[in-house]
Amino acid sequence: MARSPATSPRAAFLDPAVLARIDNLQLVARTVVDGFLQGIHRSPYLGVSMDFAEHRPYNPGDDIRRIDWRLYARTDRFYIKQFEAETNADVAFLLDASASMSFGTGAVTKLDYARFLVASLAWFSASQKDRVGLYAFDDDVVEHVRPSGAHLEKVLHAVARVQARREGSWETPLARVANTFRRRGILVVVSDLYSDPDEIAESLGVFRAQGNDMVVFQTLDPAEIDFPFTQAANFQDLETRALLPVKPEKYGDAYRARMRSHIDALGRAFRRHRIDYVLLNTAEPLDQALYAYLVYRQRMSRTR
Amino acid sequence: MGFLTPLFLVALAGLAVPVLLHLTRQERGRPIRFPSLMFLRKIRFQETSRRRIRHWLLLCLRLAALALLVAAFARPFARGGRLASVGEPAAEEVVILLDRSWSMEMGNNWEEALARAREVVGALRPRDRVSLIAFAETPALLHRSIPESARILAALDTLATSSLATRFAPAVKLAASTLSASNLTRRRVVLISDFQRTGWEADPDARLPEGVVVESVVIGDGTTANLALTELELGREGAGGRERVTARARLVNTGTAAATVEAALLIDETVIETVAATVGGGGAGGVEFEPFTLTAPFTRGEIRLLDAPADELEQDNALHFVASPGGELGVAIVDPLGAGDSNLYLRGALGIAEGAGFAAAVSRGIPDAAALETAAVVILNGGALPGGSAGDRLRTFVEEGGGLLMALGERSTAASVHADFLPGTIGPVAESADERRLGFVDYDHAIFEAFRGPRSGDFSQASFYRTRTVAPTDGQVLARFDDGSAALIEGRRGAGRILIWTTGLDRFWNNLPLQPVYLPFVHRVARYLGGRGEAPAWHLAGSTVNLPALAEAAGAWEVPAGAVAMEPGGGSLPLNDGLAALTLDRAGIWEIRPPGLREEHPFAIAANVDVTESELARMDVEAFRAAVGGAVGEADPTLPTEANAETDQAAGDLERAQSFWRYLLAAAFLLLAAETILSNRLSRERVREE
Repeated sequence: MARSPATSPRAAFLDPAVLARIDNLQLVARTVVDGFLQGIHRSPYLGVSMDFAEHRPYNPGDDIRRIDWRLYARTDRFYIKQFEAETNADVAFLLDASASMSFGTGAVTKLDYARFLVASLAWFSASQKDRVGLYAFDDDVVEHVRPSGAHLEKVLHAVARVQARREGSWETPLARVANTFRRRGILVVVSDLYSDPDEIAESLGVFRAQGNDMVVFQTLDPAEIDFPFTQAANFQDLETRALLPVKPEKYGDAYRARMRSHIDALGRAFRRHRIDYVLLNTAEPLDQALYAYLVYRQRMSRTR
Repeated sequence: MGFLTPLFLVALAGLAVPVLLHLTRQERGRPIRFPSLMFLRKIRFQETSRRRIRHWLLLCLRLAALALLVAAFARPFARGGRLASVGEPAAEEVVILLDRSWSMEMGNNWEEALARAREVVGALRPRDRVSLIAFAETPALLHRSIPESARILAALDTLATSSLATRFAPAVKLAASTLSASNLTRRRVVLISDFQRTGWEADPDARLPEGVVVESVVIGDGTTANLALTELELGREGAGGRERVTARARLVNTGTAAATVEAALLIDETVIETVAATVGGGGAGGVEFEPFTLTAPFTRGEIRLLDAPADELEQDNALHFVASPGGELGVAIVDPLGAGDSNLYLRGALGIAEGAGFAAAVSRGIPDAAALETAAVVILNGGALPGGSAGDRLRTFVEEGGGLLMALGERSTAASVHADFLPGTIGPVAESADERRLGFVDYDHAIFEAFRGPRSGDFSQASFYRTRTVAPTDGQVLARFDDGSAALIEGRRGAGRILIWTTGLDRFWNNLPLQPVYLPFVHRVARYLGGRGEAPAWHLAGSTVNLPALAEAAGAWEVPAGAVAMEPGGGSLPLNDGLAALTLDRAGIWEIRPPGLREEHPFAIAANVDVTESELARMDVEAFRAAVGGAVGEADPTLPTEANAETDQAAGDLERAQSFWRYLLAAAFLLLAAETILSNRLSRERVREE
């Protein structure tokens, strides 16, 4: 599914190093999405459908506008019409702005990469008439844009404002999201996911259990995955500021093994909760993420 | 080489700090910021694998600088000579008070005391000064503040117990004066004793100077069981012209168990009788022997406990005495009225005597020369001192050593030719409406000495109605009436003595003859005038005796020229010419005789131990320490070094010897500067590499 930017002719438009030179996030998003869509030659209105699916008996509380009056005339009973897929869904982006996201050894930091990703997906969603919103968080929600069809600009500005400075957590921010994101929709999480996989999955699984659709993008710097350090040094935790003396040549393999184990555990945990999970390398172009999202939306449109 | 403040050397442990820093931090430099250490923390690091020192030169510089700093603060100094003691605790003035009273002979107490004293001496340092005071009743300063321990040890080797009792107060005073004279600030008294309660009488003057530490070394196991012979008494009575003596003693048992012992009477070192005595625990009993006949002068006797069971204290198991048979004292009573009522009480008093008594003869006039030869005392009872040959005879009698007592009466006068012979001028009869009593008695005089103590005779009960007024000329007034007039006047003429009793010896002018004191008073006056004082059968060990007085009391015996005092345990003490006093510091029989001349019965003096020492109960050591004002425990070695003259003289040398720290400090700073330069250079290289 992932394609190397070196072999793709569209890589120039999706390469984070190139995008990093564009100040305007809106332009970045547009560049990314347009480039991506041109490459795959697909309709931009994917998932938009008004096809009838079935009738079901009316229950008190159902919107009376959705009662099929014709069928009532025939049967003298109330039935609700259900359609194949919902259009104009609420799409909320949960952007991790904890200090660990400020790490980057290449052209962009993880936060920059996450900004590009969120902006691109927001643009992409807005272009499909979805209502986009944003929750940027570290140990609390630091930026909140309520999902709306007119809030793309707000979302892009808010994403541009986000700074990764503080220690992050999942509990408080997700509690706030749960209080404000009441309509069922799509939650897109972008984070480096430095926490216990089961705990993260459990926390996000609540939203999934409420009927929301979820996709999680884990953004990692290549150095986090490959651990290319060779000199013994003090490693400082970007969030806790704690120092730890490390001799990488002796313990690099152990680190890498643990990182792989962590990623595997995340995959298993998210699968268990039926949450889509995509690992992103900040050295690679954004098309993988966009493609994964596109596939996800397509799959969703079929299952509804 | 030594250090003034060696505690700073502990800081050398800080040398580990640079080593650890080099081992743990030398690879790190600027930290690498990393998103999360959650995986790295889970890896167990083996610290030993990281212990590799890269910058040896830097480490050595840091270690050397730190070591030099520590050494500088420890203040090194050159050791040698007088400087050797610098930095050590201040020198100490130690006074060893060693109890050598005879109770220390109990068991192995004396050996233990000597051993403890040697321990104290052995623990002294070269700069300490030590004094040795051996004490019993009186303290003896054997060595005063000397640094040579060997001399103290030698003195201890020759030291022995005495026959004297314990008295702490004089010893404490001597120790206090010794310590006060010291210029050392650390002062300590080591008191080695069995701490008998009887040895301490609170004395406000017996206090040690401020800051003196008292170290109490209690000797003995606290045993108080003891058998002791006390209160020797010799009952003397005349029988058939001979004198018989009954020896009695008191036996005291301070133990808890009853004891049956055999007591022996030895006369001239021969056992003549043994008696068995049983004394209950904590009780006392008497031991009495059959009378023995006293035949020879200076007969030596001893009462001794034989085979006293479990009695480890020997000295109080024997009592010594010396007794001499006394002859009758010739007394010539001259009474104008002849033998009658006027001398009834006098004759009666002289007729009653224990042992050797008086041979009294009454005459109306001065006896002739032949009669005076047998008389030692002439009593002019109410008569006058005649002139003429009788007066001359009497005068000669006195001047040759005889005694004259003039008891004044109606007819008492003195011939004008002999007016200067009497120690006072006889005046008229003084008759008072109020009866008079004796208001002053010189109890220090030999006549009245026996009446000194309570219940020993009360002269104040006697009433005097008529007296003669006598104005003393060169005489000494021994007693006065309560109106101040003289009652008894003494004068010396030649070798003899004259006493004027300004009232009568019968009942006409006073009621003294009816008083209990009359008989002993008459006896003592007659003996005094006759030169026949009482020779004590024994003396207390430690007392000083007047040899000529003793000799005179023993029968006009004279200390031979070149005589020596033979001590009881052997050894002799030369009696230099003019030496009148002899201190009996050992219990037993002392002999005074020319050396090498072994007489059968030489002049002898008996000395017995003070039996208060037999009471072995121990006193409260803490209370004693509080009473003498000493501090408890060991002396504080952190007191500043004394600023005595010796140290002052060496101050310059000391300053020079201690000046190493300056060089060490300078070297340390140089090394630190080099370390800074090298460290900066290494840092720059590292930055370039990164």
